[in-house]
Amino acid sequence: MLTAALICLLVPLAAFVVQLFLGTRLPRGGDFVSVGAIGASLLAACWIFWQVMAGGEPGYQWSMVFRWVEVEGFTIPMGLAIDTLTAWMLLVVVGVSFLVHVFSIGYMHGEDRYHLYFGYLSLFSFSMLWLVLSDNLLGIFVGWELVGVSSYLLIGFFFPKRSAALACKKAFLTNRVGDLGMWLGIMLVWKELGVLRLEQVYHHVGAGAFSSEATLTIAGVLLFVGAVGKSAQLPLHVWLPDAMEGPTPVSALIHAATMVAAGVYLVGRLFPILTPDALLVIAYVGALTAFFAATIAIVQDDIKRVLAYSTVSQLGYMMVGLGVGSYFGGLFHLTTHAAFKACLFLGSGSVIHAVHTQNIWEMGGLRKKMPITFATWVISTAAISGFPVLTNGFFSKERILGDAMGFGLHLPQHFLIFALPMVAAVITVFYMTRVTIVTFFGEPRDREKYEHAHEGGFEITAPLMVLSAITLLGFAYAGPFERMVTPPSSTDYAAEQFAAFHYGESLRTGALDESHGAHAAEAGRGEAAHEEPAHAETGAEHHEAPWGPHRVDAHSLHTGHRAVLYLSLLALILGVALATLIYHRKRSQEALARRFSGTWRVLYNKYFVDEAYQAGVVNPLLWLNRLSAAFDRVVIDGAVNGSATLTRALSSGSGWSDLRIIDGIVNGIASVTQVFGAAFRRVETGRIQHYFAFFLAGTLVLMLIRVY
Amino acid sequence: MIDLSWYLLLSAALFGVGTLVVLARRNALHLFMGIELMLNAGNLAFLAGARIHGGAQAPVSVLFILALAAAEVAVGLALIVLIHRTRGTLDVGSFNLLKG
Repeated sequence: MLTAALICLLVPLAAFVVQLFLGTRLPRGGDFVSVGAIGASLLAACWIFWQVMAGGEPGYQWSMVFRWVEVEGFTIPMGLAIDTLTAWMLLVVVGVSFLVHVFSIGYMHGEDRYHLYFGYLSLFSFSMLWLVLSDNLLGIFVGWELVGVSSYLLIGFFFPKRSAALACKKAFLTNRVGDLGMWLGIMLVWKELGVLRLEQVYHHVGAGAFSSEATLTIAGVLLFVGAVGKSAQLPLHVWLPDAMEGPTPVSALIHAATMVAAGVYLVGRLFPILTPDALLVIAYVGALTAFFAATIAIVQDDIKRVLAYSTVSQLGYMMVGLGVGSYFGGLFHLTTHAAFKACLFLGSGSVIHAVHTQNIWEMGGLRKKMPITFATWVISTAAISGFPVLTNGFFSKERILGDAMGFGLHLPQHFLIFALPMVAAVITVFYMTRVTIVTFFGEPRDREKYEHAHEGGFEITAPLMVLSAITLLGFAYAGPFERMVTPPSSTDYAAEQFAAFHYGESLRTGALDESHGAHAAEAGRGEAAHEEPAHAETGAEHHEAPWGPHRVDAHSLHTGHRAVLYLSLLALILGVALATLIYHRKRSQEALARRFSGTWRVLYNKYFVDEAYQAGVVNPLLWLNRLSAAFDRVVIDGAVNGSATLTRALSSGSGWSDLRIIDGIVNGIASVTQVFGAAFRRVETGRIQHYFAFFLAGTLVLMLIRVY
Repeated sequence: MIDLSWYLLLSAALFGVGTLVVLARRNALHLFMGIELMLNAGNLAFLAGARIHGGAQAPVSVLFILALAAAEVAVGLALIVLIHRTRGTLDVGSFNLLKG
């Protein structure tokens, strides 16, 4: 198991190093190195998957720990861990990554820095695998940052284009905002528990080691902020649409299937320790994101931007799923979404490769030219729309909506958590049908582009076919997934809390007084939190909760599912019909834009979120920068220059004294000597008579003194 | 008997003449002769004193002075001749080679 995990993890890293240093010298830019590496990873991942799943035991756990940092009295362990969720994630990540690698051979053919592109893909695969395999929060954070970097490199791969350079900067900075929150969350967990290994964290939290439930909620929400950044949830979603500046296979891999799902994966990992309040926050953020992103997707002209907003919206669904306690729904939607959204993105890549434009209004009628792309596109569109039974999207999406409905029915004050995604489901069908009709049906709008369009080579069509096959096989793996991937059973803290809050306490208080239900429930939770240490003392065995969130109240959930099934069928029909009516045989959307000009403008400009950030965050920051620059210039520079001036004055003073006083004394002595010398040299005439006269005079004086 | 003071007056007069010669003349030979006059004025004063007081010190001194003068003349005249040969003049004012 260790060997397989290490092969899976390290071979892509080795490929990255090889590509970085030898890429240009290898034939074909060394693409076979990266593809071979990810192939080896895929084999290892399959083996791991087989090992984990063959036993059919949901609680499977394998881990390996080594000491990473070891200082006196302070150890940070690192480690790898594999459980059923990890095995699924490995297969999803490596599988999609492998197909994208293959697709890229055709798509990126002849681009500059071809070898580096594959190197970056390998780096990304390694980072994502590290994130998935890590058994502790710090390791996850390391992988988290690594995927951030490789995403930055890949978004900015066409960096000579200004928009690409700006997009990768934006993605990186926006992610940092989220990562800051996540880092604070990790530090809070460390402060409270002193451990970061997930298993121990579950255990400690289950034993009530957190100082208060409010702190636990804060930790959960902070960690979720990281997921908000990475998974492009509402306040921080702005980077994902811009990230479409990267090569399309990259969008498929990173910005649809894997990296953005990392946030959902994190929330899934933290699921056992999230408090009901934290889950509620997650559910609301997810619901709002699902709705608003879907509305924006309606009016975008760029095929990749539509898919980008669709991705944001679907990630919102996953968050809703986890937020309402549907562990299976949220994480299974991650899996299914990875397949059908990667297929959609690769399909759009195939289209873009053929017609060399991303504007859907320059396409049209492509189904005759590109039958394979068209077929796979329709299959994955059906999946994202939740087409019943045949597609994998049906199983995950209906489950999320059903659980959300159950949640909404029990807690009517939170009905929005169900209503928004439900409306978004109609919108999803609508915008996907719109793109499909405009791109593949009708008459070609741009004759020339249409004539040149053609299906790509085998390396482009094969991944599409594989992904759509996976999409169609959803019924085969939905069951095993639900049976195998369950929240860690070591703690039922959250489960119990959750059940008590959502289905017990709140029902009672809700019946008494709806408007005060939340307060009453809070009071109830406070009691529960006080009781927690007592439970811990009596031992965890007696602490086993009767029901996990996935087993909650089967009856009400089933009625929810039945109703949701009808509702989403209705949504499907409604969306397809509306879109067909509106967009069938339309040559452009100007008439529509004029008719709904107000709404159109708001949606087309994405609710002016970017503008708001520009005005609310970027500009104040720039002002602050200018202010501090001015402060720097006036005060700091002033002080420095002032001290310089002072020093100059002082030294000119001391220079003056040196010149005038010290030199004056020295020169004075010299001049005095000179003056005396000049005076006395007159005596020394060199005339012997003068000397004699002096001598005579002296003698006479002496004689006179002698006499008198 | 001639009073001592006359001898001393003569001696002082001779000395004064010698001094004047040394101070006023610039010819090295004249200076030399002035110095001889002063030496002999001194001799005269010694001998006059010896006539009155007796004793041998004064005549011995005079003999020393005469010997000294002879040596002086021998060396001095040789110098003067040499100077005259090399410089072509005996003007003491022009002997200024060492002047800074």
